[in-house]
Amino acid sequence: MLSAEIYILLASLLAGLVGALLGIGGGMIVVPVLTLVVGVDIRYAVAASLVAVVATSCGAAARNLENGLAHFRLATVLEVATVTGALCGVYFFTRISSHSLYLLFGIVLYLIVGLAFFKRSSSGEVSNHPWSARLGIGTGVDHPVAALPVGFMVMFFAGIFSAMLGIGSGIFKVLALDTAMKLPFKISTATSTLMMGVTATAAACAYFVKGDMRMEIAAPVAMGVLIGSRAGSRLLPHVPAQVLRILFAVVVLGVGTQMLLRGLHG
Amino acid sequence: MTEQVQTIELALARMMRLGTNTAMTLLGLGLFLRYGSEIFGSTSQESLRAELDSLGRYRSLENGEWIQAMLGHGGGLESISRGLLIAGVCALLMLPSFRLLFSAYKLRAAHETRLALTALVVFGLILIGLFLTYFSH
Repeated sequence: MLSAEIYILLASLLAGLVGALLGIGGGMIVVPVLTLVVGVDIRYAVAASLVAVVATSCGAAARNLENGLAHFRLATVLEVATVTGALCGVYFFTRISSHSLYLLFGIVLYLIVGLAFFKRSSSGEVSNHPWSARLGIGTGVDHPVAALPVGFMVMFFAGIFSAMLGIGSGIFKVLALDTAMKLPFKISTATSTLMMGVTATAAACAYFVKGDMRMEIAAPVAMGVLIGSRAGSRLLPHVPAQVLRILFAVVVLGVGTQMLLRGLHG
Repeated sequence: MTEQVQTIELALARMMRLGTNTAMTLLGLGLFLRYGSEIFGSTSQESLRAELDSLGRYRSLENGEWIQAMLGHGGGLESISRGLLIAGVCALLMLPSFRLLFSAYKLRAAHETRLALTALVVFGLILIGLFLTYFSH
């Protein structure tokens, strides 16, 4: 009989693969798979998923930094908001029931489907926000950054969701960077990936100290998601975009419904 | 100034790649030994349900005892594999913090004092979260 870790490793591998194909990261798939399929407590699943977020973020961020895609200065400033949000998320996480976590997860997944189909405005001439200029962001060859306070606010909430649900919250971060702060889409995704690791670390370290981090779960999850997401990104160019969009909506709505039902009925 | 930041970005990328690969090697080795220890019979083969049920007992442990519980009481391969898994996860969790400290140091050297201070603030927030959780647990 296969041991629990092998089930978890295989489930995480699949979650990483699907997550990379759909561009939503591993966390959004791995937490439901661990809780609904393997039967792991949602608190352990969230803590383990955050380790996977750190692993995938570090791997991808290294590539993005080398290619000069990530807005390093902006990421450093916005990490103040995401980490503060993550610490608030840890506080809420320890005070709400598992049922509420399932419900919140389901609601956030529905929200994500809505945001994914949200029409992004095309960025025309972008002027640097006064705060950006004062903090030395968006000057010189860096891309100008508009609406920094809005971005700061969204990042704070992204940090809360990340810590409470074990996800990277990339879709919220990219939306803020791309639509509100008017950064090019590629720069937005690369900057979001760079920030994800630090945000997840803040929450994961707290869960580690609290005793919610089980190595038997976290280790295979991190390995599985990383390998799965690497395989997924290689497969990505060979899958038609239309198929991916439909698959995204079906998978995320299906998983969201399952999480809501678990939250409502236990 | 911008060139200096680009140099810092490249150094950070190298550091993060090295760190991720090291952590993944530790985790891979730990998992391999763990499965190996089951195959070669140094630990008993537990069923999936029993193993998942046993997770519940860690929640009732007193402050600090979970570290001992995590390391396990089995000898040989099991302890080594657990040690490797803990080292791998810790290496992963420390990597972004190292990135912050390293970038603060390099940015300070490049006279980007404000940005260096911001990186230190983020690192400080992570530490505050860690201590608050530890003392409130």
